[in-house]
This record gives sequence, C-alpha cells and structure tokens, in this order.
Amino acid sequence: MARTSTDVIQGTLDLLILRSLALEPMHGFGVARRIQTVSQGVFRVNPGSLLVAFQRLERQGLIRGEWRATEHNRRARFYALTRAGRRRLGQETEQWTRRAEAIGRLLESD
Amino acid sequence: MTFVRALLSGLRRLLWRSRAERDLNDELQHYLELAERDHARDGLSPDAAARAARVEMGSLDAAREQVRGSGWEGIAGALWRDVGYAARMLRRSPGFTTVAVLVLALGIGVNTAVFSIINAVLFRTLPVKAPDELAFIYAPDSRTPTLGPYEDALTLGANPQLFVDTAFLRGDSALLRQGVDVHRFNGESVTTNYFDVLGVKLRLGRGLVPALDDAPGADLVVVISDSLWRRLFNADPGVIGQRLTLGRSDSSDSRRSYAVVGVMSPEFRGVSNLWTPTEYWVPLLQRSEDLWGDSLFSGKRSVRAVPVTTAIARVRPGVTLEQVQALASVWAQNLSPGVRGYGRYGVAVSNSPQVLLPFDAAGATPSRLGAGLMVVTSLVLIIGVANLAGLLMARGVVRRSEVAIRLTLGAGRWRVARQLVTEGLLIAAMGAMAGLVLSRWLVTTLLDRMPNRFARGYSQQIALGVPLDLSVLLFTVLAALVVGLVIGIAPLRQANVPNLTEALSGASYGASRRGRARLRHSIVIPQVALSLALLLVAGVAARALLKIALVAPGYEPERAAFVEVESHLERAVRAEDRRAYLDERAAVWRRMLEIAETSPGIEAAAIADALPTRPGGGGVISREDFESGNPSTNAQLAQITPGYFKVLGIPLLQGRNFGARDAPTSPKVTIVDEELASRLWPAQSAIGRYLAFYTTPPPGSTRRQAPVWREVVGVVGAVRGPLSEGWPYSFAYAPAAQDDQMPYAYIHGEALIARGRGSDRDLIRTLREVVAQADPGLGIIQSRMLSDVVNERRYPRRVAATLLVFSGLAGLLLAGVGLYGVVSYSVTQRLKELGIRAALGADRGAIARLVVKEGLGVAAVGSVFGSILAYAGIGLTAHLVLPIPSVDVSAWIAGPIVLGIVVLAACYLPARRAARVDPMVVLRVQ
Repeated sequence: MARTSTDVIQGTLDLLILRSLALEPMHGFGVARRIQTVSQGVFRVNPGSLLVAFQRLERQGLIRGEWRATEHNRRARFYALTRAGRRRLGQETEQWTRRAEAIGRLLESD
Repeated sequence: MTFVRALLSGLRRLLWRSRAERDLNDELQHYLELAERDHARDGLSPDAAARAARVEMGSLDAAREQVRGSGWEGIAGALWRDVGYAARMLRRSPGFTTVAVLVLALGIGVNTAVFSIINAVLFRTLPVKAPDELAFIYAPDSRTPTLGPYEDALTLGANPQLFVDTAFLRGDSALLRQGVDVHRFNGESVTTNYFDVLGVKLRLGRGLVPALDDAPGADLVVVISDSLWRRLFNADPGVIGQRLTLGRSDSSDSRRSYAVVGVMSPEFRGVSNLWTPTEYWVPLLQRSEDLWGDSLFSGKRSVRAVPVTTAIARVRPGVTLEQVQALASVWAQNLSPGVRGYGRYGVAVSNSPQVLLPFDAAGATPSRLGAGLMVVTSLVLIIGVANLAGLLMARGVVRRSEVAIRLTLGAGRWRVARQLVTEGLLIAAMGAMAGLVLSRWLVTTLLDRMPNRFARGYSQQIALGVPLDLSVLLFTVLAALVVGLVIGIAPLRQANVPNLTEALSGASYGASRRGRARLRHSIVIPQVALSLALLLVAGVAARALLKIALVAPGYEPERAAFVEVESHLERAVRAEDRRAYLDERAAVWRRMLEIAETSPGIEAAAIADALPTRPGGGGVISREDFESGNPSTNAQLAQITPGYFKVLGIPLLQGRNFGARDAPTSPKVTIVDEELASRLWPAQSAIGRYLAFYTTPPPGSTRRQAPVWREVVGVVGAVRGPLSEGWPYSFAYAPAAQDDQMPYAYIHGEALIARGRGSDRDLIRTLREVVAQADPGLGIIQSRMLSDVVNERRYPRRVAATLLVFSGLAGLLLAGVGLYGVVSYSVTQRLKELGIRAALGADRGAIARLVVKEGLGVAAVGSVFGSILAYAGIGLTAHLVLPIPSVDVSAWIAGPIVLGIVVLAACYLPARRAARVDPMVVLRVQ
C-alpha cells in the first residue's frame, strides 16, 4: 500500500477535504483516513499539510472547526462544511469533472 | 471578509501563542491516537501499532513546524522571533549596541536633515496649474537678480509661437507697523496677468485684472496672502474693499493706500522668495508709480523702465526649455545699449523659480551647496557604516562557534544569514529612529538660527516649511535599509563556516591564512583612509574657521546693542518746511542720546550712521594726493557722536577724541583708523594732516563736489568685518555735529548704540524705553545685540565647521573602533600561532609587538591613501562649501599623529590580550 501511495495532487487537497466533510462533520484523522481508503490508498495525506489546509479553509469561511470532548474525555477538533463550503464544493466538483474529462479525452485520443 | 478572518485568526494565534500551541498539540495527539487505534484494529500489538502510526505520520515536530510556519502569521512570527533573538544578542553587548546606534543616529540624522532641507528647497512643486508648463526666466547672478527693464522684458514675452502668456514680476517689500515694532513684509510687484498665467485660485475676492488695474487713474489695489489676512485683518471675511498702507522701504508711513481686492489661498506663497513667503501682490505699474512717480525720487524715465527680476512664461505644448533658453539668450544680447548691463551674466531658464540663498555661502549656488553638503554628510554615513561592518565582522569571529552550533543543529545557512541580516537591520532601524528625531531637531535649529539677508536689517524670520513628508521618510527608511543590509551582510563571510568540526573546536581554519589577512586588510585600509581623510578635511576647515573666529575684530561686540528706528521720510515729504522737519528729527536723536547717557543701565551711548557690522562705504582723499592728482582711496565713512569708541571698545591710539569743541561752526575734524592712516601717510604721523570725504555721487550727477578739508585729530584702532578673514576695514569718522548738510539728521542708517552694565535683555529693554521716551510715535525697526549680528554673519561657516568637526570626530572614533575590531579579530585568529610562539619562548613584549606591528602597518598604508583622499576632499570642500587653504602644514602633521595615537590605543588592548596568552590553555583548546 505504502509503495503505491502518492502525495495528493497539488491544489486538490482542499477539494478532497471539502468532499469528505460533505458527508458529516469529521476530525482530522477521519478526513485523512477517508481520503486514503476511498482512494484505495492512492492518496496519502500527512497531518501537517492537512492541518494547514484546515486552517486555510477555515479562514476562507468554507469549513468551521469546533472543539468537542471525545469518548476518552480528550479534546478533539471537529470540522464541518459551511454553506459557502458546500457551494464551493459544487463549483469545484463541476470544474474538476470538466477538466478531468477533457484531459481524459485528450489522453485517449489517437 | 476572508481577509478580516485571516487577520483575526492570525492575530489570535500570535497573541495567544500558548493556547494555539496547546490546540495544535491536542489536535495532533488526537490524530496520533486515532491512527494507533486504527492500526491496533488491524491486529497489531499496541507497541507495533504506535510505531506504525508514527512511521505513517512522520515526525510530529515536522508537522508542528509546518503548521506553525503557515499563514501570514507564521512568517511574521518567524521574523518576530528573529528580531527578538537579535534584540537579545544586542542587549548582551550594550556597549557595542550604544556605539553602533549613536554612530548611525548621527550619520542618518545629519543626512536626513540635509536631505529634508534640500528636498524642501530644490524639489518643491509650486501649487499652481500645470507647473511643468511654466518656464521661469531670470538672471542667474544672485547679487544683481535683475532681468531687465519692464518695457524691454515685454519684447521677450511677445513670442506667441512659444508662449501662451508671460507675466513679469519684481520683488517688493513694505513696512507695516504692529505696536512699536516695524515689520518688513515681502511682496511681489507683478504684471496684472500674473494670476492668470500661474492659474492659482483665490480664497476671497478677485485677482488682478488687466482691464481694470492697468487703466489710467485706477485705484491702487492689492491681493493679500492668507497669513497677512489672518494677521492684520483677523481673517475678517469682509476684508474686500478695506485699505492697506504699504510703507516704503524705510518707513511704515505712506500717503497712499491700497484697496484689498482679494485674499490668496494659503497654499500659494509667491515665487520670488522661498525663505520668506510673499505676503501681498500689487500691480507692477501702480506700485512703481507710487514708489518712484513722485517728485522726491523722480528720474527722467517712465515707470515702464522699472527693472523686473523674473519672467514667468506659460509655454505652448511641446515647447522645450532649450527653445526658451535660446530665445531668451538672443533677447538678452539684443537689449538696447543703455540697458545692456542687465544681460551681462546671461539669462537662466528653469521650470522652477530661482532659489536665492538667505546667507553668504562663498558664492555657491543652492544646488551646488546642497550637493557639497550631501557629499560631506554621506561620507560620514559611509565611514560609519564601513567601520560598523568591520566591528560586526570582528564580532562575527567571537560568534563563529555559536553560528557553527546552530548550523550543526540543523538551521539552514539561509536561516543563519537571515538572523545576521536581521541584527543589522535592527541596529539600523534603531539608528534611523534616533536619527529621524535628531534630524527634526537639526532642521529646526538650523532654520531658527539662519540669518536672513533678504530682511535687510528688519526683524524678519526665515519661514521655510521643511515638512516631514513622504520623500523624507522614504529617504530615511532607504538609508536605514541600505545601512542595515550592508552591516548585516558583511559579517556573513564569517558565517559561511566551511568546516563545522574545526569551527566547533575553536580552531582557526588553517588554509590560506594570507588570503584572509588580505581580505581583512582590504576592509580596514579603506576605513583608515576614509577616516584620516575626513579628519584632515575637518581639521583644516576647523582651523581656518577658528582663525576667523579668533582674530580680534578690533572692537568688543559683547554687551553692545543698537536700535534702529524709522526715518519717517514721508513726514519729511509732507513737512512744509524741510529744514524744520530735519531740525525736529535731530532734536529727537539728541534727546535719545541724552536719555541713554543718563540711564543707569547704560555705561556708554552714541549715535552713528555706520557700524563695524555695517560699514558705510565711500572714499577719502588726502590733501597731498589731491594736489598731486592721485585718485581717492576707498574708506568707510561714519558720522558718530563722541561716545562711539567707548561703546565699541575701540582704542584711541594717537591724538584726541571728538568733543564739545567740535561744533558746527568750528574747523572740520576727522578721526581715522590706523589702517587708513598707514595707507594715506605711510610711516608718518597722521595727526594734523588733512583729508576730504567723498560719498558715492548720486547716479547721473556730473557735478564734482569741492573738497571739504578736515583735520585729522586722532587715530584709533582698526576694526575687522565678521567674515573678511582678518582684513581690516579703513574707517574715517566725522563728528555728527559737523555734518555739512544737516547735523544729527541722519537721513539713513542711523542707530543708537550703547554698552550696557547688566544682562543683554535688560540693555535691549532699556534702549527701547529710551526710544519711546524720546519720541513715542517712532517705530523700531530693530533692536539687537551687536554680537548676535556678528554671529549671524558667521552662521553658514559655523554650521559647516560644526558639521565637519563632528564628522571628523566621528571618523576618528570609528577608525579607532574599526581598527580595534580588526586587530582583535586577527589576535583571535592567531591565538594558536601566538600560543606556539609563547611556548617556544617568545617573550610577551615580542608577541605584543607582533600584534601592534600589524595594526600600525595597516594604519600606515591607510594613511597614505587617506592623505591623497584628503587632498581631493579639501579641494572639493574649498570649492563647494567654504574657502579653506589646501595646504595647512600643522593640520597635515597633526592629523596622522592623532590617528596614530588612536591606532596605538586600538591595538593596545588586543596586544595585551595576545601577550597574556597562556600557551597551555591555547594549545589544549586547539
């Protein structure tokens, strides 16, 4: 698994985070695990980049983080998508799909 | 919105750093726990799971660093930590920091002060419509700033293919009385299209209108400045139509008054004099008619022949200054023969008004003086920076192991470099802040003390606004940046330690020692050279200036004061009987003298129409020269009362003083000074000989006066002018009582002078009371201490001397500091070698000599270059700032000796340290 995994494509980490959070509010590890499992281990996220990305998205008002107590009575930070975040996810997904299709067509063309 | 959120969240993180850290730790810890649990669920043992999670996550510290460094606050935080670290380093060596900041404050302060004045004088823009379309045409010679007669100037303006319109002006001044004191206000006599050509807006009323104000018989009108409006009319909005008396050049009284038609907006303060703003504008032809049209001063020419000083042309689009210059030069050459003298110095064309200096600056033009000052002052800064860089380099050696440790612990070279540059910038920033404060103080002090030759004896202050504007701030910031980068980057050469283990063990890296010595010397030799050059320039200049200051002037200006009062010429004009008026005036003067002589605060008093600070001019001829047809001799003529010599402390060398017997009807007598006596009758006694006075004949007068012979009854000591480098004047004195035309009437230049017993302020007050008692209606033009006038004349040179001496001392100090740094650097590097020498039996003296030899060698080479540089520098200073001799033997000998002593002192401490090297300790450490 480790061998085939790559870093997330530059600039798509934000999109992947938004997509993960679209299902339910999550903590950092949850997002990382989700990206890893759903991409079947292709993408691996390191916690440093992830936290920086959270901070960036929070500042753009796309996600909202809040501290909650865990079942072990530790502090954990949960992130949820805001309305602006959801809107942005829609736009970004659409754009990405269009681009991916175009690139796919280009690569498959003879 | 996003920006605000980023700002707030960043600030939160910066301000509550411990909380942000805790949050970050908690979040990462939680992350790690979950990762471990995840792996445990996959069936790993707790230990193995923890390890796997760690491997997967990589270094937690790295992740922390990544988060800490993100966002704007991450960068700001890192910079802030750099600054904090730099501040700690500087606090640890307060001596170095103080010297460095003081040196930079001095350098940056002086530079900023000079720059802000130059900025205000040379780079100001006029608050007029499209100032770049204007061409100012004037005579470049500042002594006779006259373009030509108005009627001739009109032909210059009549060039519609080049000019849209052209206005002309001449400077004007008026006396206005406020209470007892008579103040002089600057104004401009302008053609009526002046405001239209410049395109300035008025605050109230109208400007000048050609159709109205040039009409024959039109009422006299004036446009006043915003400040005059506030001062004289209390900003009364109903000022339009009120009348203003504009006194002539020697009286605040006038028969005719001007109707105020407009008030100028506060931004516009005229174009003719930068130092003292224009307070009123009057139509040129009206004013000329008023001043010279009446019988008293009538000439045969019309007012259209009145000279103008400046033409302001609004040029057509695309017309260049060169085209205007070409036109103006041709015009000047074609002036009619009668007025050709005006064009003697050619004409200057510029897109800004002429700048005249308010003081005698050895004939230097403002831009040249500015450039010269800037060169000298930036030299101070450059030397300061060079020496500081050397000092920092020396410190760099001490800090080499610190730097090495930081490199070993994983700090990038870039990070270390950033740290050193931050330190340099921090020093520079502190220096710049102190320098900015210093520069404001310097500017106010310089301008406050600046004499104003435009005031011509009247109380009038320099009122140049030197704002702390953006360009001044930018200049300071830029200077600080450059300085900070230079002193920060120079020590970097040490920071690039090639071999960590060597550096850590404290060894001096062995390779290419000679090369490093050369590098070191290549830094310190220019330092010594520059410092010596500065020291020599300052020394020669200071000696030249001291010589002027120390030469006995031949009189005692201290405790002597003078009062000048209005001459009330207008009263004379109106007086039915001129003789009666003059008698009355003489009576006032006599009354003044009587009151002053009996006043308890006054030791001696006199009346005179010339003073050592303001000689009268004229000439004399001895009877012998007259009879053999020789020409007359230049001399300063003064009419005095007998107390004059006592008031000024001028010694009577031969013969007698004037006295009661020198009445109007008794034989005419004179007293000459020794200078004049020895010129007229070399090697003979002057007493009992005869001479005649010649005053400058009025222009156009062809009638030669018959000589009135005066017997020389006394010889007094000669007096010297404040600036004349020790050359004495030749004074010839006559008793005021024997004035040919009007005894004691003193038509111009008269002053009551007195020597006081108490303080200066008491003396001035007493003299003003004397004037008020003698004639309550008399306006006082000025009441001052003679010593103030003398100091004022010496002002530009004093400023230049002070700057130069300061620079010289700073240079000397820096040379010492720099050499100390370099020599102790060299000692530190050579510890091993010195230790071995000591171990092999070299005695302490030999080792100390070794060290001193290096210092002296460097100083000697530097001195040679420095002397060459100094010679050039003295030439430049003499050319630009003040006249000083290029060869001053004692300064040339003293300079290197003083520098040598400083060099020895700078070498002494490191040499002592080297001599005390304990071979065992050194060799063990290595």
